[in-house]
Amino acid sequence: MSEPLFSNQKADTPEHGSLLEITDLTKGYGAAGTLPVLGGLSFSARQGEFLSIVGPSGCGKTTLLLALSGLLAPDSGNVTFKNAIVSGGTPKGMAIVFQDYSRSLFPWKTVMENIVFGMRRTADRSWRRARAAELLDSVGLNSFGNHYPWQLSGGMQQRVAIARGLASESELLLLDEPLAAVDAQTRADVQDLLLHLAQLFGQTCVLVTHDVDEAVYMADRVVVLSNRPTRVIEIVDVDLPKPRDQVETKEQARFLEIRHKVLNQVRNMRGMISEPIGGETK
Amino acid sequence: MTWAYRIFALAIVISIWEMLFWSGRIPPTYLPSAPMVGAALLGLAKSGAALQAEILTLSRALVGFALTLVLGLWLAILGWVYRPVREALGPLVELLRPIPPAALVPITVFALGSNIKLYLFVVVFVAIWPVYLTASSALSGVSPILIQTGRSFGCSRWETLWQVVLPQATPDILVSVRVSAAISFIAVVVAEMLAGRNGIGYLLFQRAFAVQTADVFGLVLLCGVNGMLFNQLVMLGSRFVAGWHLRMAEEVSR
Repeated sequence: MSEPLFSNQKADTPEHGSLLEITDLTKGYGAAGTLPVLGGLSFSARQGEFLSIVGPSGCGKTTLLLALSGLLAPDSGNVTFKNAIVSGGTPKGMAIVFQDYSRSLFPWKTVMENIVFGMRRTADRSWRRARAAELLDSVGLNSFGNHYPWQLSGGMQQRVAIARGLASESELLLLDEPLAAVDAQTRADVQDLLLHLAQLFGQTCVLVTHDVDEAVYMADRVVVLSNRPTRVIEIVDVDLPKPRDQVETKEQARFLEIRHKVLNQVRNMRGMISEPIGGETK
Repeated sequence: MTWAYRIFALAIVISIWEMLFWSGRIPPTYLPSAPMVGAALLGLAKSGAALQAEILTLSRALVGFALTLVLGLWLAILGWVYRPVREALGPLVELLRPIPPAALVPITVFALGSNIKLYLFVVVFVAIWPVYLTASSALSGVSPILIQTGRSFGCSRWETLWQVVLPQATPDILVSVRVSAAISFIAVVVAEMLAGRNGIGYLLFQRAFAVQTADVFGLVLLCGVNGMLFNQLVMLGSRFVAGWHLRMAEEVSR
């Protein structure tokens, strides 16, 4: 009723076209939230973009990711996915790829069955195996469907986990340091695979990582977080051409410039004592 | 090769037994020789007494074991879903767990009578604890990441339990299932000895008081064979419900 007739003002707000919106998110642990972790975070992820989140160690990146996915209820503030508030579980269209693939893949299911599990809320039963085979193909594991996850290398297991995420017909992939536990060569390969798949399947991606190089290389924008209680320090635009290239992109002056900026911000935070600052206002 | 070792070990045990017998230090009334025991077993089998006792004892143990599994798992699941249940049961379980089956018979035989109810009660009461304790710690030991994974794909609480938590906990639970299977059989034999009118335990006591030592030895041997049978049964079941884990154990150790 009180909606303005002319909504041209809305068009230039930064939240326009966002798939995921985080508003004033707070979360504390301990009795009555004595250990504040998230201290009022706000940012959004636009449709189709690759958003990296970096911050100093222990700034509550995993807590943030669990809150984004609805697996952890925030103390205040909210998460909106496709214009609906996320609460009481992960909404359809959102999938998580965890860092610890060895604890996230089901060891009693074959690779194929693990991927089929990803479709439990979506695909029609008769289509599932054919679709899983396609996804296996797209992550380069088409001949490993009948293997068990524990028969594969770390990088291969993480590719299975990515395929399982995509299997849920996700629009948003939440990536919780998915490559922290694999070797450098594999990491570069899977980074490029992720970028390729994100484009191919039109995924919006939110990548939480410790690795500033990775954050900048992958992203359209980088969200830099502060120490606990965590807030957004800055959102950095990564205006590097696509497709990215492990050698070319990382040698560009612009890449180094952005990397320098983000790295400095993270490093400065690391030196700071994470005590509540007296008299600080919103 | 493994079989050669096994037969060798068996041969050694029988040799020591025979040596003891032929040394003459123990009267044959108390220690019959291996062939005497074999003959006694054959006699028991021919008279049909052994077969009848075997069927009775085995079926009692099997039904009791099945009931134990159902109740033990159910209790562990209840404790997983409602944590206060688990907390409340803690000290009670520790109190009840060391009670031997032989002590249970005198306090329940008058209330329940010498029938299947008594056997089931005794079996469940002594065999449930390994299953309950192991299952309850296996369930709560399942990685939170695995549970979060299930939930992130839209599993409800019950779906998470059936599709994620139980499959992951199964290999651990199976270890205690083997233990419980053996205890179930032992409990039935003990109950039969103390309060039974038939079954292997009853027959064993009857022959013992008649000083038919060879029969007693034969029946004890039969108990051992039954234990092996039970174990094989559980192993077969394990392969069926958690074959992946056996393969994983084999391949990862390689």
